[in-house]
Amino acid sequence: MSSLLDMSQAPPPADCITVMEKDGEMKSLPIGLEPPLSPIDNYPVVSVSKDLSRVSSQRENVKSAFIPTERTVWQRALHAWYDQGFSGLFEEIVNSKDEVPGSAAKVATGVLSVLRTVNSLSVSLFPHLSLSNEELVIKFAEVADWLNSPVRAFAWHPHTTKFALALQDDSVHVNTVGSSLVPILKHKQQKYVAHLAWQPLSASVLAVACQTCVLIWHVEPMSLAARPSASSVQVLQQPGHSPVTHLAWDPTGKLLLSASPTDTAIMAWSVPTESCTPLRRFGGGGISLLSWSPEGSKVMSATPSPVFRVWETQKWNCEVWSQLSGRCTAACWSYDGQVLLFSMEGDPVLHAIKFGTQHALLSGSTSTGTSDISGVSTAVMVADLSDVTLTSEDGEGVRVGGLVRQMVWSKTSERLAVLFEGPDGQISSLVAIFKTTVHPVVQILPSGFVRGYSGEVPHHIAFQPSFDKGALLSVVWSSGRVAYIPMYFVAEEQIGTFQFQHSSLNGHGGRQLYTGLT
Amino acid sequence: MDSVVYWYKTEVYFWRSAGSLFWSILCLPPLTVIYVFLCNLSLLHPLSGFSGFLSEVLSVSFILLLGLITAVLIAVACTATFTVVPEVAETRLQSFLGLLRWSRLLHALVCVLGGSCVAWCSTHFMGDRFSGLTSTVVTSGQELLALNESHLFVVLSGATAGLFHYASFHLQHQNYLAFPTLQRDKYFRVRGGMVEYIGQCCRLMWLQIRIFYLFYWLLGGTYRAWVIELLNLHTVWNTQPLDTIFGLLDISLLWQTALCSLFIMYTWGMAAILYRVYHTQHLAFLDLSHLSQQSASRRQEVFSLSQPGGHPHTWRAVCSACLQQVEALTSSVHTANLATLASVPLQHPAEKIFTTAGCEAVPSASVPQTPAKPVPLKTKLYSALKDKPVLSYFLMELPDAKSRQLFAACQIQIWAIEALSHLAAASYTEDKYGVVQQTLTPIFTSLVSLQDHVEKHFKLQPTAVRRSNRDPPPQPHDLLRQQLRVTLKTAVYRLTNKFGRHFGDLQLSGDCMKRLRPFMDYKE
Repeated sequence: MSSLLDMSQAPPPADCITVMEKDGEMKSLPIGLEPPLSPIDNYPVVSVSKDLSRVSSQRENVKSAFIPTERTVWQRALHAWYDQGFSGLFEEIVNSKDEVPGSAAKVATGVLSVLRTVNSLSVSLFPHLSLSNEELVIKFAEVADWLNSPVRAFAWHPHTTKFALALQDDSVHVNTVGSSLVPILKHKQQKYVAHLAWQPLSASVLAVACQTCVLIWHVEPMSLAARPSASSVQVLQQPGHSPVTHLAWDPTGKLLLSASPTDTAIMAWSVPTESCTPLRRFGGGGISLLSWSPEGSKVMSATPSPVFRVWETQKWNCEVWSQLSGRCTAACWSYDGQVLLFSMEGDPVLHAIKFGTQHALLSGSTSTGTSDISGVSTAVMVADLSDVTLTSEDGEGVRVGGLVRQMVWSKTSERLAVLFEGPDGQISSLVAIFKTTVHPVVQILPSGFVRGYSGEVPHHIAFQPSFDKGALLSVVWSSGRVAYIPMYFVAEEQIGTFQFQHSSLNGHGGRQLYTGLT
Repeated sequence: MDSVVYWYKTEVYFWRSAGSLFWSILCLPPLTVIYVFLCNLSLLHPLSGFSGFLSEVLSVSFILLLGLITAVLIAVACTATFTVVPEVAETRLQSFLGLLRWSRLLHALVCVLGGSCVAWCSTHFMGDRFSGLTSTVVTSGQELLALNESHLFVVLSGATAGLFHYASFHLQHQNYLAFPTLQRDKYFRVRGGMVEYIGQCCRLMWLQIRIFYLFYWLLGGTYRAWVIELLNLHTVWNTQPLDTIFGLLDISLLWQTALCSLFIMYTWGMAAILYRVYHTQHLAFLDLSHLSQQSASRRQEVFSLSQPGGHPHTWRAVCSACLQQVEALTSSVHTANLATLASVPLQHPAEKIFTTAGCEAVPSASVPQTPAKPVPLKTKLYSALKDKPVLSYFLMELPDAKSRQLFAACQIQIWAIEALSHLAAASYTEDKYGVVQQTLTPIFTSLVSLQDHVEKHFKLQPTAVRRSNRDPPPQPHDLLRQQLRVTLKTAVYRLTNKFGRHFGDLQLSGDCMKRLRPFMDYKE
């Protein structure tokens, strides 16, 4: 099977940027002619400058401003031990291998790996357990190139035009449409921010995944404070559950799941009571990805090994999907939670699993078998995205496709955006957009590409959940610019209601005309 | 209501208690075998330790002792009392006094006696040094009956372990049936609970060992003398007495004592965990809240019409039961708010006028003061004691204890609110006959009014003390009121999300609309 991308329209030329989708086509404009930074009604203009996103060095805090920095590695290790216990101590030694004798570094690496293994209670040694916290976050964070990206995490509010982004200095900025006030959230435990998530059915609650904990901020929309006080923050912490790299809220806003690549348990938090229930299944070595289906009946959790699980959310049983070609790198659910789309490491192909309706799920859940969540035993390959060289509109060859780094599906499941990673680990400079249908069968057709300014590489993509004129894709570029690409179309679920209104209007009008004539 | 209680007592309560007890008894033999194995573990002679373990487990006496341990477990489990409404003590003194309540004394007695009984059983597993209260000692050709102090030590430690189990059971609210956030299968809940309990148990054991060692070091000699006197034994001074520092620095003694305490606390705690898991499954309101969220087919039954007549009896019953709960809570919160407002010391109005007018020349003393009411002696004494440094620790009112008391039983209301909002939101697409539509207005009105009252209540509370990392984490039930607050907010958001465009048709009062406005704009 040849790559699906062969069929797509030619990528925009290098001196153009993509601005929107209209009439079913992606539209690009030459640089210089593009509309002002924010083409959508007063959406916040965000461009994180490099000096704002100062690279925070290892484990620095306020104290380091006063203590001379020529501390020996052992002093720093002592400090790390005081801060984070034994694993912090060994991690500090592993991080500064060059400054300690080789044997000591080896011992520390070994001990760190053993500590982590014991922590995750895993039976076999997983290679990722020997990585340091930072390496773990770089590998499993949602943002591509987490270490160098000016924006380290990004999240849209589920109901309003508002988003939060985390910068390299570990601060979180909250941008709201029509408001110039940008609250900046800072907390001393807010380090290595890997993921952000807004609580559904709430205006103010934001969960931040940090190195050692999950922080719950209450960003009051009516408050005029530019720096909300850190005293109202809830700290959700569990021993052995670090670094936290993924979060997922229950669509009803009741539960928050958090996951760490070193912990085999998903923590299910009841945020107001700050109590957590570990959902532990052995095997896999940790959790690298979480995705809650939009209607709330299922949760997908991937592991750093070629295994992932799908949980049903009534009794919290799970089924295991194994024999993958690599670990699952990206996954997303259709709007009705009936189709799971996923990609694997080392395989440029999208697979889909079709799940039964919720009714079938309920009748099945009483018999305790864990394998009847989906009712199917194999995933279907739905698209081949292997890399191809396309000729752009100005006749230049552009290489697109490859392994999937990130993949997002719009709210109505009619547009799919994919961020690629080439075989050499380089992120592709084009974001591919696909048109999709879910029923009766999953269909994926190429629609076009999104290109930024020359030299810009996309680091994070997301659809705004509350956009109602089609779909709106936000792209965080490597320059720190947040671009909005609106895609105007009439969603399929709206077509039914439009037709109904249209025909009734016609009937009404006709009658009036008739009475007028008589 | 009485019939429901009767039905629950006979049909549900008994079988759930029996089920949990059955499983605790079933778990006891493997735990005992593990315990005996650890008892006989010897670093220097691993093989002889293992053979000792085998001969111990395979003997007849093992079965008899196991029977006795099981009997103690049943007695402890049967005398324990559980509650679904967390007990909120206003002062520290009150929470300690709670341990001495008449209804609990039987449990305390059973725990202490049971602890020493289990420890006595365990001395048989520990080897010759510990078994038997007396031992024959040959001194200068004479056979003398002497006291085996190690045995006495372990049995006393067992009794303290029982006492500690009792205290932690009540002080750390292990008797509180907290309903789980996730409805998982019993197996996973028990597995998770038992693994977590190992850590808690070790901490409790460590505390008990420290306190017991201190106790024995101070008072052990008196006890020993008393027992020797009572049994008319001989005092033999060829062994180190245990109430000295050197006597207590005995690794083998420490290991056996700690292990025995751990065994006692863990087996009893396990019974409590099983009890909690069995009793927090599927109750009426909890089940309603779950079906309203997760089961479309069961929601259909709620929205259905009864035949003949076509009346929505099911929905009306469900709705009125839930609204009744919500309104009861609203009125109690309202009363509490009024009480708080009344107790706030208001400045004298006359005084205020003078100061605002800037007439500083008028001395405030000239303003006629209302004569102070005579204060009862008890209150006087209480307030005098409250200022003493050590006593104040026990008598000082714990922060927001009143508020916690008010919301201690609000678990039912949380479920009712969740169920109501989910059902109403689902009715938008699933309610074929429009049975919910008529009741939407009262649902909105009562939820919004409760939300308003609860928010007012939290504003009247003094701001929460900032928690530092050193403080123990708050008990989950302490935060039940926070959960109520969040649930309410989410419920109102859920409804405004669904019905926001149709508010014009709902005939809501202007006041209610005003309060819903921020929810519509996601500004609350």
